[in-house]
Amino acid sequence: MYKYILKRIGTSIITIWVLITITFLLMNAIPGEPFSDQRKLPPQVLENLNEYYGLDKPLIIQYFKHMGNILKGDLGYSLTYKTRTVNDIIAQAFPYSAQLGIQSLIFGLTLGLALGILAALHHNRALDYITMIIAVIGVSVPNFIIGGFLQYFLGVKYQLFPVAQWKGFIYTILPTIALGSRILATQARMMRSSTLEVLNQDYIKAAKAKGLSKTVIIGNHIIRNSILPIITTLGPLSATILTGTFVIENIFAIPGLGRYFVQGIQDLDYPVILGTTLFYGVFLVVLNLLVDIIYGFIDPRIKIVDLAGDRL
Amino acid sequence: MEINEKLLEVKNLKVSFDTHDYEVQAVRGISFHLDKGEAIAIVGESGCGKSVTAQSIMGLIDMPPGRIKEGRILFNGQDLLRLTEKQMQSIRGSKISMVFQEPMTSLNPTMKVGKQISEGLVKYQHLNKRAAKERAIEMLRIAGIQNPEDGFNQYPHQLSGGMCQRVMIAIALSCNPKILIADEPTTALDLINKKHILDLLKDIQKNFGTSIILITHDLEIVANTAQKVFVMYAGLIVESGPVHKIFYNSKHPYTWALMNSIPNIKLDYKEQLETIEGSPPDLFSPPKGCPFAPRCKYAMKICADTMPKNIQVEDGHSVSCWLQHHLAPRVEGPGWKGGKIYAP
Amino acid sequence: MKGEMTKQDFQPIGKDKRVNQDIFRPTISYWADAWIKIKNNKMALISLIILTLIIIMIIFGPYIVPYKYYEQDYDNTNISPGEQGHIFGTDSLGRDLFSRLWIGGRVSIIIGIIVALLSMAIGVIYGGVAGYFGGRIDNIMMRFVDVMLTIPGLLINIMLLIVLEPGITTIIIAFGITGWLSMARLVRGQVLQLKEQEYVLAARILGASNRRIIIKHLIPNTMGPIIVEMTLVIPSAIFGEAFLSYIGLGVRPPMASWGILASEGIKVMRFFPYQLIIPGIIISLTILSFNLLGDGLRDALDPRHRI
Repeated sequence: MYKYILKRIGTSIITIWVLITITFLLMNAIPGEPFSDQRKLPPQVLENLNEYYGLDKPLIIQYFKHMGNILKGDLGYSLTYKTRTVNDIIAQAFPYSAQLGIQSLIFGLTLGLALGILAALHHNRALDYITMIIAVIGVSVPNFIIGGFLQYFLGVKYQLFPVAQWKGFIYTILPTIALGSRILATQARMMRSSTLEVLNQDYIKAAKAKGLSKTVIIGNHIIRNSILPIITTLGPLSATILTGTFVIENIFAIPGLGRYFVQGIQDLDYPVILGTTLFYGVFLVVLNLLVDIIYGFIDPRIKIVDLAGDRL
Repeated sequence: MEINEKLLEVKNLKVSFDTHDYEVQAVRGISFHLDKGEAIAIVGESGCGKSVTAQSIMGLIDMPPGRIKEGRILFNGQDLLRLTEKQMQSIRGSKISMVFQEPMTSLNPTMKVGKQISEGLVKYQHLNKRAAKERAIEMLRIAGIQNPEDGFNQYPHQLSGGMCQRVMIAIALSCNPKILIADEPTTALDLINKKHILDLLKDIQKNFGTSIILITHDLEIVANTAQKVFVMYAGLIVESGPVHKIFYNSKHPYTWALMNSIPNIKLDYKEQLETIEGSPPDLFSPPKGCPFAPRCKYAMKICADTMPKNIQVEDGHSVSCWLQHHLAPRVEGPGWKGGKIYAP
Repeated sequence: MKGEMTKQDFQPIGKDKRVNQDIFRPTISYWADAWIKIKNNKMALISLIILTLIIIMIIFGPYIVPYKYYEQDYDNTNISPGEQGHIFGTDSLGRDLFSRLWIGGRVSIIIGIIVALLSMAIGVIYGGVAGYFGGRIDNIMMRFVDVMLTIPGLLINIMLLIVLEPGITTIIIAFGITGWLSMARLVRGQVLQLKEQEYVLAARILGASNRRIIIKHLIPNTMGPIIVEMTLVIPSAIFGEAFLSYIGLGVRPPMASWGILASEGIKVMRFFPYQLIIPGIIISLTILSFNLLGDGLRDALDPRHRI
């Protein structure tokens, strides 16, 4: 088990390093001076930038300076909000995105998994078809279109929910549904096919032969086994939610990190773009690492093989 | 003279499967019974309907696409085919239990093996967790697992095939069932484990008085294990009788062919293994005469047209074959010489 | 019918010679079998029909109306659908939405198809090589893929589009760079699995040459998942383009794309909902149909579900 964890940590570190390098290279590939003609910058700011990035020094030195800055945790100053550091922006905005993300995850996962199991248990009957239709729609309609529709129909036309901003729990409902819809859909489909596969296994028949009731079989035998593959997708799932926040926060005017990111892109505020990308990247890499480690503890097949002596 | 008590009686069972276009008649009218404390064997090729029969007794056939066309299965005064699912649940595992062919995949890979035994106990015998654990360990010991206390905590993938099968048997025995159905219990095992498991089944029958239904395609393992044999072909029982009569005095050409194809360790150097040419008929258009006729050396005109009647050859031994008719030519079955079966 | 039985009836006729021929049901080839399954799958068929209709509209749609997609008409802005000859109405600059919708469709679908083809080309070669050689080479190649896959593709796309000038070509390049990764993993997994299959071993024992093995066994068995994957790459490319255009990194005006139409629609949704609803429905229908088709293909090409 420990060797597995160490290997994963190692890969994660390499991934982060690659990410930093790629972002650095890309930033330097931008034609022209990124900070020169975009706006009139006061000389003090320019000087700060030069110092931070080492713009007058050769590329290699810039690279190490860049690395140094990042390792120190210093992500520089925003160009748009000249007095704010990128760290500052992230620290302030991320909690909103986090709340939105977590709510959407909970919403999508619980409903999606439940629907998935129900669909599989009623295979080829009404509930199955309905679930699959909902699921396919959730996967196909881009979340910003869902967001737009929700906003229009439930917010503007019928005035059931507030249309934008984030001032209380009720404000969070529409964005959560919009962002979580894709999760609901994908998880429902995956859980359904995972459960269907489990249902076909010999041990389910053997469990039935033991005279166990349906509830017991579902609880003890089916769910445990069908959920395992789903856990491995939690990593990519978070990535989906993360990128989803860019648009949803925009539509619903939520002051989260996604909104600042998109704004930064439109303003060409490079420190913000770079810093946020790095932040997101590291966040996801660490999340993936955690999910993998947790999975290693949950699936007895992995756990035992490792403890028994490195048969991986 | 013993008065044998009929524990289970299957009467004219017909089971079909409805696929998209056609009906597959898996079991076409079989009848047999099982006495208390007895071990019987149902023998036949793949696809002859023996597994379907076993699963019908347990009510494990998915209905659709399966369908009981006709028949009754009497146990304890009730017709199992007419019980509700809830009633069946109280019979499965506790009165009649089953062991399957693939032991490695018949166990939940994410659950400790011991728990898979105790979960039934907690339910049926209403034992608390600790008592259930103790009994589960006891069952593992009876099933022949060394160090059952450690075994309790293992996961299926840590065990070998033979050990998994023992666990399956422990599960099946845990509630002291009256009948244990073993569906090809040794097919997936090597020779040594085969013997161990068969011996275990015999011990169970002797020590607990459990009746056993052994389903297999291997006539050889039947000899030591069962008292009565039912030979199945294409959904029908073609011959049945006490085991020694079937081995020494069988009357059906299919049974002869089965016996001829048993590999014999005393085979001469250049002798080939006998096989039965051809394949069983497709069960969606079963032939109207004797199902074995197309492959039978002794087939006669009447065999192709008309289903043979079931005739009693001697006490307890009956066969469905036109060769028994007085108008049919005399045919000798295989005999025994020097410990070897020789073809007539 | 049961009449008297005579000695005649008991004449031996021996084994039936036909029995050894063992023909029960006619065999069909893998592809014919797949086609039958697709035909039987109603959802997949409907999707195919819808897609065909959409593609026809994309090709011919803009010619049906006399308005060009870039023609601005300040006197006729925000006209509702159906009025004054504008089938789908006009947007805030007076541009006809009907032709913009189908022109936009061309952009989106072309991007989708090219990206799918690119992904397949690069992915199949990369994954095939990795899987075929296995061992160290496979390890290094796949390590690279895994690292790249952890970083969300969209982030990389955004970075690339900031660096290079946004536009159709850039989008295709950006998606292509991130798209082949999943394909490579898929192909490599397939090849690895197939290499070990018993029928490959059997073919080898029977003396088949490497070339025969690759052509007759490995490729037909990988084609299935590859086709399915390609069918699913297209909607995700459409999705991605829409997403990027919404953020502002997509196609440049006056060119239309589905993403641009959606983002413009969202801006005026409160007042002119049709500007969002109409493109929204068409985009969703297209993605939906591709997904259903992909699902249908997956079921059809799965060799375990033979008729």
